[in-house]
Amino acid sequence: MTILQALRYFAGEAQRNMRRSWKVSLLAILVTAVSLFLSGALFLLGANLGRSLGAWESQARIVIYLEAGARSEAVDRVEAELARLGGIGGWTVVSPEEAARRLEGRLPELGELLQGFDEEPLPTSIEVDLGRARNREVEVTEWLQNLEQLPQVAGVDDDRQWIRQIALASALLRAGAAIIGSLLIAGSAFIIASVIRLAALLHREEIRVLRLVGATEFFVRGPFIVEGILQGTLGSAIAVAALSMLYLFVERSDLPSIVRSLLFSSFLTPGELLLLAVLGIGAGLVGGLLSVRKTAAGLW
Amino acid sequence: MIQFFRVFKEYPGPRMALDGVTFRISRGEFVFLTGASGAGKTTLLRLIYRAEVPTNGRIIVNGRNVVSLPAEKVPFLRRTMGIVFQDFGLIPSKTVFENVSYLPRILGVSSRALRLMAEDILDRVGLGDRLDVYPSALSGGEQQRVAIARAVINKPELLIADEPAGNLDPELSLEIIRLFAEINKQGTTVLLATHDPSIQTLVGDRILALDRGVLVRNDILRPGAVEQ
Repeated sequence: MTILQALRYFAGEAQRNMRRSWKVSLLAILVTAVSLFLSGALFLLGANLGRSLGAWESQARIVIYLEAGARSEAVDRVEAELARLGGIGGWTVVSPEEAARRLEGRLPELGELLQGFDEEPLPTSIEVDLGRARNREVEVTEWLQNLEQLPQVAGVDDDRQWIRQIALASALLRAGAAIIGSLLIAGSAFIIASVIRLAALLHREEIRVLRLVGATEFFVRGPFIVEGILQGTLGSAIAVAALSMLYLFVERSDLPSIVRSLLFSSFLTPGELLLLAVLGIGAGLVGGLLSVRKTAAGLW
Repeated sequence: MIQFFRVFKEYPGPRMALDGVTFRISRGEFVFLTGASGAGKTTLLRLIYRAEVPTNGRIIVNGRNVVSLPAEKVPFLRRTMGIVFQDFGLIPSKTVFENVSYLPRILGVSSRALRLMAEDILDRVGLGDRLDVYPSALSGGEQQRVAIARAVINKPELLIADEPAGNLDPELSLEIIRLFAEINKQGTTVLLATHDPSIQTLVGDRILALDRGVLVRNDILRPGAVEQ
């Protein structure tokens, strides 16, 4: 018998086994599907958060607020410091008038609050694009600490601080996804193994007969391994379909755009989907192999 | 064909199932193995197809020492023989055709040839029209004939049967024994275990009798029929 004929035989026997014990087989498939769906969903969230972070990091800037009423000498002083740091992508001085205009433009209802002051209510600020200096994190942080000590500087807003916190949350999410996903997939493999072993135990008399008529272990155990692979494959297919549906549902839902853009800006890539499918098939293969171990319930 | 040299088989207990059994069966013989329940008949048969190994002694089947045969070679030994059980040993989830054609199928015989082989062998046992039914739809006698068809489909050199008529009424038993005799006429060596004395002298060439593990009789029933 050629390998192809053997595989066809195994697939036929595996299908027959699954039909005969369809309830427990369905359970194994659904457990695998749920495990892969949860792992995939966590991975999807982590991947999208990672993509958003990448975009934010490239746009991260520092805003230096000068003391109220600061004159051009103060701006010159800060610009000198910026030049001293070097490697900066560029900066823009925002005058109090420009700041007020921006505020009115973005939040018109607050425009009235800015009326009736003797002096400009908003300070002059300098928006800094860190450019290549972004990579010199420690140096930039020390430089900012020194800058804040200048009498001309009222305060500093550093986007990198909140991005760092979100990056930490993202890393934790990914690590959690990897750990939870691994546990769930390992659990699926054990459930597949248990289901196949149970089915094999129910049909141990058949296995005995097959051996007595001259079937080698390859032919006796092969169908059970392929049964595991089939269960893993079906579980993967259901998980990928459910993830696609979730993504489409969120994309077309009324969820706030920030949630959609942050967490569901794009679906898993074909490579990531393939990885998910391979994990499911792998869980099935491991389950099948575990079920036919020599030590499995004294069956083999 | 089969040679036993001082074969002992002891089970934990201890209980001696076979006690220094020595005999020889030649190619083409039809041998009855008799004895009361617990005499050691099934143990002796199981030793031949290596379902068990003896505690001591040597067993040669078709020139091969089955005692020292590596486990992975055992299926290949079994493919040279057909085995029929008292409980038929049919797989209930497979049709008659699938039950009968299992071994040639895993040996790589094409689907078309399998069908022809199965039809031919089932015709010979009178069940040519029952290929696609499941064993549960057959009577006990029919199931045993399917089991015999399965055992001989691959044209084995040796056919071993353990109480093949034990679950059947006398008329059906006779029919089954005649079937074994026909198979034997075509050159297959038959070793048939039975505790029923009424069928032993009908067709056999030789009779081996066990009593509590000891071979107490090794008689040729038809002189000249046995090739020594």
